Amino acid sequence: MVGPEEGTVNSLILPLLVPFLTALVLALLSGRYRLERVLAVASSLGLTIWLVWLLLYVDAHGIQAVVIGGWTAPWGIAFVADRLACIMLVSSAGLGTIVQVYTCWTVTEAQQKYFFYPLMQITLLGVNWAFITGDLFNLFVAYEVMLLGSYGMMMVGASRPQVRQTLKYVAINSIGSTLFVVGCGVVYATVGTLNMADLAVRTAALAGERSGIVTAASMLLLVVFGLKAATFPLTYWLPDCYPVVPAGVIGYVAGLLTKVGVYSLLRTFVMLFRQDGSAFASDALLFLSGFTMLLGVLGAMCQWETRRLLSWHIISQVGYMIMGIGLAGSLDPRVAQLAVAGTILHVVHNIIVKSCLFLVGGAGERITGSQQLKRMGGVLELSPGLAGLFLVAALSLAGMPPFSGFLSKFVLTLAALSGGNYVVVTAAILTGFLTLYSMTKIWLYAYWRARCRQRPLASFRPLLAPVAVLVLLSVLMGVCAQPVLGLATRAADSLTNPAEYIRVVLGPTKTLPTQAIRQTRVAVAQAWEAAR
Amino acid sequence: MELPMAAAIAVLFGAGTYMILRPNLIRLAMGFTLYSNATNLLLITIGGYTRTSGAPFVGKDPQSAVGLMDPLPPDIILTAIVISFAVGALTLIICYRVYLDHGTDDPERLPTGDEHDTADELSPLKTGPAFAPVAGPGNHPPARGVPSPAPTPRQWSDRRREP
Repeated sequence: MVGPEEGTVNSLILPLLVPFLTALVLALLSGRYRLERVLAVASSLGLTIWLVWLLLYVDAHGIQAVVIGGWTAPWGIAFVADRLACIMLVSSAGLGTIVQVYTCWTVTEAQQKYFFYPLMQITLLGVNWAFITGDLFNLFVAYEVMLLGSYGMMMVGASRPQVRQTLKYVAINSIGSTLFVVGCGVVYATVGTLNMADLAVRTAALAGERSGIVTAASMLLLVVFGLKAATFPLTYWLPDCYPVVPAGVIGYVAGLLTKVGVYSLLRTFVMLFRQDGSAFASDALLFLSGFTMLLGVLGAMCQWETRRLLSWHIISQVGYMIMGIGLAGSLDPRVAQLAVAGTILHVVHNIIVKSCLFLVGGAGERITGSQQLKRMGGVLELSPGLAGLFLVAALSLAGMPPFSGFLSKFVLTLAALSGGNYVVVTAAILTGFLTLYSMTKIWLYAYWRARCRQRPLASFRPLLAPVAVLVLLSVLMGVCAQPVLGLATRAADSLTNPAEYIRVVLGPTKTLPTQAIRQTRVAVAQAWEAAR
Repeated sequence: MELPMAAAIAVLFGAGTYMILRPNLIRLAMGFTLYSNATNLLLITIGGYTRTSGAPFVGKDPQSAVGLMDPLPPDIILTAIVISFAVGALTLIICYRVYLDHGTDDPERLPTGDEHDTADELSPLKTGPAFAPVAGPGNHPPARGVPSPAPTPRQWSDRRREP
């Protein structure tokens, strides 16, 4: 029932257990602010180190799975650590550590009194859970835990705009949750299982007969995950809600929460719903991705507040990832693998660089006392170090060669070109130029202009260390492109061809009907061609 | 049994959508409750509930599985109920807090501009809870018919001003 290496499997529950227990302990420690910070950072750091080990172990020994409660796989809830899940877990825990170090200086004790660190740990718990679970309904529960934690984090301090914007966030996510449960229900009614490995087997074998209604159910899930990832028609909540999150915390929220949606899209639309040869979903995703990219970057260009501007950029970067997921439906397995690898790289790159930009922005706000670009100015004079870090992160976001953004965008563009999707490539390259434009705008107004005040408003020097770590990671990811690309390709491989995933979770008897899938895909492609 | 259930689900979803679209925060919260009830009914229907089917594991004939309801959907419903309780309570509290903050429960009368800037966050006077209720004395809601204070209009001129 479990993989060939049975020794480590039980510890797969650690990414949930550690943040959960830490949150409980921290909630009991109210009042001892310093101890609370030390414990929170230490627990996340320990978890990160363990997860890096797990990533290396899984990469060497194959997928690990544990089925909770001793039930056998399709009925019990499986936790599965494949390479993609491990990469995401490392990103989540690592970013969580860095952001918590950063918030030691930015979150005031008055805010900490509102259970800031326990809520942060609960959010970490939900995010980790969403990455490691192997069950569709369990994913819903993970989403809810993550959302409840993030509602609390957004409202820490409870100022008027915070509460007002959180209401919007709660409302839009409640609708998403309803649709998620309905989607789970319809999938269960038509396919008869919620276990992801079992779903992958059964939907692939479903070709033709009931594939229409499964496609409908998968479109419900597309709406849910698209809402979370802020794809094209469902973006408007994000630029309003994110700017009110306390400085520092926004680095985690902006860097990771939308990427959970992207991860779920990857998991469901690359691995699970292949009943119609993915033709419908991948066309829809490609269509949405172009609009998401352009809308995000055009929205960013006309903003004059740093947080709002960067929030619009989250949307445009999500567009690139959606493009990769759409390309994964390609008939050529090499293109599909390249596209998924590019998506994974872009997700990791974006987690690092986007949160880095928000953290840099937070330090800049502490120097100039404002987030309005027109009231900022002279950060280059007041802190050359911070300006240098911003420059690297901004160039990386725009996709300049030596940094991580170039690598991921290059792989994605390559996949799109070999797939023959020239319209989307045009949109992607245009978006890259416009991104560079709006980064230049921040640079010109906030950094290069005459200084707006004689000395920094608040202390910011300790904040440079966590930011520097993130910048270093981005540079390393760009410089060591080959091993990073290798890891992403292996992760993509186990996602586009989930035979190993299925074998580890369900046991050796169940296999993916590869032949049937290939026949279906070819038949569907021919049907589409005929229709055109 | 499926037809009346489908009708009930449709009515609940329709009523929930109507409630959510009303310009009233309490109706918004109630709309979400209706949504979750509709979802739970949908799940019960999916589980193969008929007039004759027994509860899972304790059906008419303990020896056979004939006529039993699928045990998984009730399981999902339990989880979904618990979660919707928690989120519903949180939504109600946030709605009430927004009402206290702004003296209105009409989302369209809430200020749309963002009065939020970093200098406020960093200044020692304004950190901590910015909790200053504007509703009537003792946090009581203003009496019906009393006009609530109008939100400050958005300052468009601020955005156009050159540095």
